[in-house]
Amino acid sequence: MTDRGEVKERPAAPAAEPHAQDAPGARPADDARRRGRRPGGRRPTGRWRRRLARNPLAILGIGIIALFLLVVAFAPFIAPYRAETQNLRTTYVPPGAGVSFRGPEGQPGLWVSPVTRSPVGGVSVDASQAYPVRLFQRGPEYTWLFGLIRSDRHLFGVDGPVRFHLLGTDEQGRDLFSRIVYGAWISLFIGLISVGIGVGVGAPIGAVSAFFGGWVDMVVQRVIDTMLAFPGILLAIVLVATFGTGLTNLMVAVGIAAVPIYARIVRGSVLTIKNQEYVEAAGALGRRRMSTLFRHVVPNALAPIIVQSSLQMAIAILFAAGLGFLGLGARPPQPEWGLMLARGREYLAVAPHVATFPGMAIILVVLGFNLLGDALRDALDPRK
Amino acid sequence: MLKPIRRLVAALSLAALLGSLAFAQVLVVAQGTDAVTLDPHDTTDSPSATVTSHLYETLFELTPEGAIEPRLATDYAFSEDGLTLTLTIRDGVTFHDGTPLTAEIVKGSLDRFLDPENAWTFRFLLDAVEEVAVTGDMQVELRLANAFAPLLAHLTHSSTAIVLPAAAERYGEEFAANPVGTGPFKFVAWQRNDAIELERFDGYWGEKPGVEGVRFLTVPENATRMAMVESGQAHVAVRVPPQDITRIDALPDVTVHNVSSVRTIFMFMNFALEPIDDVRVRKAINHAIDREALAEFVLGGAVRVSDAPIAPGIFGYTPVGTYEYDPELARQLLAEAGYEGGFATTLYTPSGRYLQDIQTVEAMQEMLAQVGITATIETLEWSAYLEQVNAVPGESVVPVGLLGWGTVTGDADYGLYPLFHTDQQRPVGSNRGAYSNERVDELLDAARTNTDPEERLAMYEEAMRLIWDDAAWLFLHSETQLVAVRDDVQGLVIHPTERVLAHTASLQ
Repeated sequence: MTDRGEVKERPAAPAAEPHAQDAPGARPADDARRRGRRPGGRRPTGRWRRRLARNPLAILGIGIIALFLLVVAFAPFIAPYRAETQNLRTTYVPPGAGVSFRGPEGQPGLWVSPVTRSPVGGVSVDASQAYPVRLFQRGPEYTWLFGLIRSDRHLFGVDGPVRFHLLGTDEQGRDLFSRIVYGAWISLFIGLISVGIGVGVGAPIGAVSAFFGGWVDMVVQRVIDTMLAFPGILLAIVLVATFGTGLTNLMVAVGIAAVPIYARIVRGSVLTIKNQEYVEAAGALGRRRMSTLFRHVVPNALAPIIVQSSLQMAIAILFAAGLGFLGLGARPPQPEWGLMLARGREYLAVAPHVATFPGMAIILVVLGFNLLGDALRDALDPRK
Repeated sequence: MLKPIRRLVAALSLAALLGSLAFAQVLVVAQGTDAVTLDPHDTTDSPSATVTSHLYETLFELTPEGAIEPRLATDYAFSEDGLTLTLTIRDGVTFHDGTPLTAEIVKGSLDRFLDPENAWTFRFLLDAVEEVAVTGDMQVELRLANAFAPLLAHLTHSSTAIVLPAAAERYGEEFAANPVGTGPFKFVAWQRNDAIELERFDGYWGEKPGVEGVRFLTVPENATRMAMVESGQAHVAVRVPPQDITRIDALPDVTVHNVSSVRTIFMFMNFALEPIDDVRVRKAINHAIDREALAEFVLGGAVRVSDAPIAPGIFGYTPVGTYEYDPELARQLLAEAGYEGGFATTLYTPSGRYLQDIQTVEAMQEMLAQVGITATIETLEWSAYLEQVNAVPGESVVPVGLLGWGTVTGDADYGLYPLFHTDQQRPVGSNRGAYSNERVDELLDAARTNTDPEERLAMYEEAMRLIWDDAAWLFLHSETQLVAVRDDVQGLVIHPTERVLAHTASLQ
């Protein structure tokens, strides 16, 4: 049982700087002991940030996540078209078709000519026309910030009656770039909700289980054991298959699959913290146990939760894509990346880009969260 | 000294053995789905029927051109009143286990098919038959409750094939996996969801096949199936996805055959649900769909846009109209029906069952959005999907659902009666939208019992016009079969009833 919590119990250090201001009696002895072991370790909070900033992989991870969040935040502006707009006459056009770097009279810039494609006839480019791609071009109107802002300016677009497909189009002639940009929101949302459910349900269960111990711990941990016995993705598949497909059920299922992991991690942390002197002091001063748990113990067990959450974001996005791929998640025409990948697979022989770009988007975001999670774990590791 | 020689001999004989295996003339057919059963009476799907058609034979045969020819029956005669059909059974036919075919066996097989206790899905094909009587060594009489025009057509249906009742009895439940028929191939082995192997039956009464055997492989992945025919692992691959037609056809040793099919693809509309119950709404939906664009760009030209509820090539087919793509008219019809702002609905579709099914529905979703109808798509796995659409009217929550229907008897009765007659509403028949029109019922009933082809044609035409004007379905298209065949295969028959037949095939 404890071997499973092994990795997660490592960052239990914040006990050195307890958030328990009203337990001063416990401090001198504890502090002195710790100071002896880690010279200069008075403020580890500052140190982990510095450690993180020195890690190039962490910077890369943070960069990817920042880009991802930026794309989510400004999706309607970044995407030149709506995610659902079809054009059956331009199905699975490869990226770059009809695009040239010189205008009709030799002007520099990016120029786009009309392209049509039929499943039988293939791609044909009408080179007699060409229109320039411009930044901050007008395009389809959109609303932003829950309808507060209405605009038709896009990051880029074509000044003319053709469409520019940066990453080509899919099997319904929809702009792949726009779909991936809009799909980022779905992935982030799935990640946040799933992690939220995992933390919100799993952490209290684990904390209560460890803090009260005895038969409560026994019962809760056996239930957790049962849940951990199923691989997470399998648990999610079972839940979605039972409660029906769709994005909401998918998020709940992936969240539930994360619950036992959080419960275990938090239990491990709480087990080490609950015997600290400041916790005993709080008890001695007459605080109720529940209040002690949430005022003094849980805040000190946050580090492993933060690390796990970053990794869990990656897992949730991957699970969601996997379930979408199996047809258990998002419904068409939602631009969910896993679903796009699954549909693109059908066209792998004729239009590999339809599957490749959503796949790359998944890889990139999952990589970003994994890098950040790993770096956080290293930075928060008290033994370093 | 002897050892190397022995080894050489062993190696040579092994090589010879492998060589003979490699040159064994076995035709390999890659299908998308495995057979469900090899008991022809229990067969309801074309992958199963494809295999049983090699093992079993029917009394009559529907040729690819649509003519009805004798097979196990050599001759037939209707009585004056049309209530008795006398059949002469072919001489010299033996089953794979050596049993000769007799009138008794034909009666036994038909009785098994008609036995209400067996409750075969397609029993309705022959439910006009009251009694089968043996009237000679090689003669049976089918006595009917009422004149039944499509009887001969129904006797070509692969589900009415003649089985050996003794074998059916002996194997019981296991008969589905131990077929004993009279067909040109006999059964060797069946690995579920993998392969079915048949070998040439040397005691076959007719012209013996040019190949020594047929192997049906189950390959659900489109891309894998195409790769198999490309690489020569399979000689035939069914259901070429539209996006691959050009590429596969351009290969030097593979040709994509485009053969018409009797399968019509449609979306049934649920008359028990608002606002679908309003004919103006149904017409608006029909006018909102650009079928030509769907046919060309989503389905790669592999379909024919419907102009009747049944496909050409079926007895009774007459073009009865078109729903022009006219979003303006659609909006106007919606406004007349009181839905200026459109409405929200759900399109149900299976995924992967029919050619480009989900892609077609997705394209339609956007077309419907153009006229103000906000549709969400519900995709379900095939058996879960059937459960939903098979609910009885009033309980069914499916407003619009995609389905296909293959009129495999080649007769309009089979293509219209189970789908549009009021008596065929769920739970018994296939009228899943609870369509009901008294005049259509009358016409379909009359056309069943009338034996004059001219009059039947007129009745079906009138019925189809009514169905068309009621916009009973969202009419879509009839599929064509796209089959990739390697050029060394000769004489393969791709039957419009969606069966690939190796009876006359040979390998070069």
